[in-house]
Amino acid sequence: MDIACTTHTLANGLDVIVHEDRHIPMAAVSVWYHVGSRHEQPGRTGFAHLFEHLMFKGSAHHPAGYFEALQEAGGLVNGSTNTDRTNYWEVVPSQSLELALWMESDRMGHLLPALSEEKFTTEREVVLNERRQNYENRPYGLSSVALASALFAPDHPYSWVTIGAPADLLASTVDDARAFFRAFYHPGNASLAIAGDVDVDDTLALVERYFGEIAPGPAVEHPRRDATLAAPAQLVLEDRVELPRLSLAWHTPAMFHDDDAAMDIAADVLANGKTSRLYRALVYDTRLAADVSALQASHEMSSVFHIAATAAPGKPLSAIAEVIERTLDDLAATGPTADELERATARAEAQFVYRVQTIGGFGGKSDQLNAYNVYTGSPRFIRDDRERYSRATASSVAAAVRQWLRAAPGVALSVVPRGQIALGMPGATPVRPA
Amino acid sequence: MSRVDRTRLPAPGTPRPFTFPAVERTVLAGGLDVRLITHRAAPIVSLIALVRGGSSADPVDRPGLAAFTADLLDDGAGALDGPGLADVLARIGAEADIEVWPDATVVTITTLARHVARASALLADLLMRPRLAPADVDRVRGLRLDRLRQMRAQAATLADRALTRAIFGQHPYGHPGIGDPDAVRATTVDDIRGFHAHSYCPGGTTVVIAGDLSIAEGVALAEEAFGGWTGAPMNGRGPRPASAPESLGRVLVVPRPGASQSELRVGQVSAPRNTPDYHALLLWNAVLGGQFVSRLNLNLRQAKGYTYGVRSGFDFRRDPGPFSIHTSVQTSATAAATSEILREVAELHSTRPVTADELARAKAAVGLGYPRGFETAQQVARAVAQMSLHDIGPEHFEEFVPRLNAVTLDDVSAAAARHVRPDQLTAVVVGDPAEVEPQLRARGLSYVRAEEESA
Repeated sequence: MDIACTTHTLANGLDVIVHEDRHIPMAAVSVWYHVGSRHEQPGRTGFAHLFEHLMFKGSAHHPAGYFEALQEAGGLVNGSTNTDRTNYWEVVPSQSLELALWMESDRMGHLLPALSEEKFTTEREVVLNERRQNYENRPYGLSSVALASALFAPDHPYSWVTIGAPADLLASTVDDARAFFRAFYHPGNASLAIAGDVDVDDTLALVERYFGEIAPGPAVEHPRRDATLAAPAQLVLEDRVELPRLSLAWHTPAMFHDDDAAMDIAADVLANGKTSRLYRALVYDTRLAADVSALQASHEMSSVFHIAATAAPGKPLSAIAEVIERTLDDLAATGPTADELERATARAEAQFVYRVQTIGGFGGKSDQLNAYNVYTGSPRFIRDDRERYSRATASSVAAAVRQWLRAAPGVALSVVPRGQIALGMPGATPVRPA
Repeated sequence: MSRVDRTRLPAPGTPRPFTFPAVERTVLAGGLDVRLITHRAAPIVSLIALVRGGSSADPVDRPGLAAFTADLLDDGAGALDGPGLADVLARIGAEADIEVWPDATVVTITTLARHVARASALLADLLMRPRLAPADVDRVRGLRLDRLRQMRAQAATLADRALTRAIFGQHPYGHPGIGDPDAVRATTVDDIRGFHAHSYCPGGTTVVIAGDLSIAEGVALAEEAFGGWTGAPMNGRGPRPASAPESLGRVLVVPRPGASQSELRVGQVSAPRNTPDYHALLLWNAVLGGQFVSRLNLNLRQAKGYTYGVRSGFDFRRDPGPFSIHTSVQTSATAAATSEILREVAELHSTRPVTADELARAKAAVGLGYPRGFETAQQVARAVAQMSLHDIGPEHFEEFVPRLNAVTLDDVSAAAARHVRPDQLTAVVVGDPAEVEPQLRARGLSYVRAEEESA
């Protein structure tokens, strides 16, 4: 398995990766900046994501919005921010590749002259509305906020979620945006991948022309912090929900670590579909729960393993918790069966094929190439990535479950209907995320 | 190396030609319609079965029956029980998905090409030989009741359902696909088996096979898996009203005390998929709210910051489907946003019709990006399944952009006037009544409270 590509680094430090795929007459452009919410300062949480929004509001030579020109070229354009990186992408008809490069280079090199107080203030309102829509007004939407602050020390940059706290967003200024741009948005902290209906040499020449003139920026310090939890935490959060939910979370190794793959397999064995252990024990055989899920959420500094189960009406979370504990003990003791391991690795390997079906957008080959380049320094890391799953054995999965979910403490969060705190786990401490 | 010219945006080069995938068609002896597409971009095959029986085929006293039946397909079929099916799907790295649309039930299995024979056999089992066992019916009934209960806390779901009920009334499109708690409780094993026997028949089903295989291989697979499927063709979609009720413009408030935002829907019953105005309506909608740069989003998000986003769209169905506008806005801007939405639609019909420039931009946005929809096997299979549902001929792909480009300003205005009536739009607000009702009154927007739903 490979994504064949040509790589080149410009004199200003910009990494360039080009992959040719002529199936449809489209070109995908992906720009990753190695900056996410973990690069924020306490008191300015949510800023990396707010800044992402500002990148669409115009640049020095195209001060109008970025969506207009790309949309009328038949292109799609978007971006996203997480804890570790911010990405921007276009998928355009290949005759408009140059347009996309013009625009990405203009905002990489010349954003600030177009940034105004008014744009900043309006976009902050948009982001506050995004937060209301996706977190505050959504059942269980604030769970992630409560879990992050319980898992990490207050000065650990994973202790806040990427969307940030409303008060911090309101305290931020357009000067913060200018400083943020100067610190993080420059060629040496970026990676540019282009995939699709393109000629490699022509594309590299266009990239040199549009991006080569951009000045290099200051070195970026990427925070590195260990994540440990001193003692188990038992919390309860009241929310506008109908059924209580128990969410469990533990620290696990960073993305691309072997145990990160092992925990991915553990998640599959525990809660992926009707054959999975927790689905059978909580939903299929007993009807204790309405649903159950498990996820290894991989991040650059360290990862988090999640299990969540929503109680069936009238069923106590404590009964669900007991089943989960017992199931984890079993998995830690003997690991997955041969059948389970075969299923999980078959599914993982198929995912590698599905993930590279498209040239770009959210996911797809250009995004994948940038991910490998930014996180590992090797755009063609896909083979090594996949081999982690082939290396996993029953005993390596069992050992990972023992070490990360049994020997180490975790956080348990009960989310309960308002006014019914007694439906939470016994002894849980009420929390109220900002 | 030439210096960068940043005084203007680079002009596009010459568009590269694109050959749309050829769709082959065969009808098996039992009447099954099979459509095949070779698409070799990746070692993947997508199989779709489209059964012409969706939630609009639910009996009046059993809303949710189509969806309940569909939910049971992968709970045991042929020689395998539910976990057994899940085991095989996982081993071949397949992703299976069952959807219930208003007009059809759609089962999709996407798999690695080397496992396609196993996947097509499984698809045949799900369609032809589901067990529909009493114990599974009861278990799934419980899960569906849990889901219905959780929906009461989801503002977006409440808003969608209130609008659907308000505009379609007793029409078969008027109830949510999942049904209601009473009907889910009352549904029997016999109801489900009866629905399956009636709706899941070769004469009413299309199977699409798209991906990394030859047409001959696809035909052989279909013969092998579905060749023995026989059954009387389904006897139509049952009696149904000729049209949805005429609606009167109104505002409904669904109370959600203390909500941090208001979910808004504005809509009405509009056009069917087979309207000759299809392309004109797509362009009109692109101008109004069908994309990021649209009048609604530029106004409510970009200029005012009321919302994370607003979109409008036609849900084209066999019968006239809904035209609707969706957004979620900050509570303090609820009435202002509602007024702005109603004003934007009304002005597009009167004082500020679509301009030549807007039409040209909409054509470019929708037309130039069209080949993007043919990138993956699953995209192609879904597009072909849609065509079969709406009896659209194989010329559709080739003709889409030329027909779009032939639309005139007069066409757009006339199509919008035929299918969208600003005075008949219903607005639904799911929000904090203490905050939003005084705002609505202050703006002279009369409203009624939507009736509470049982659960």
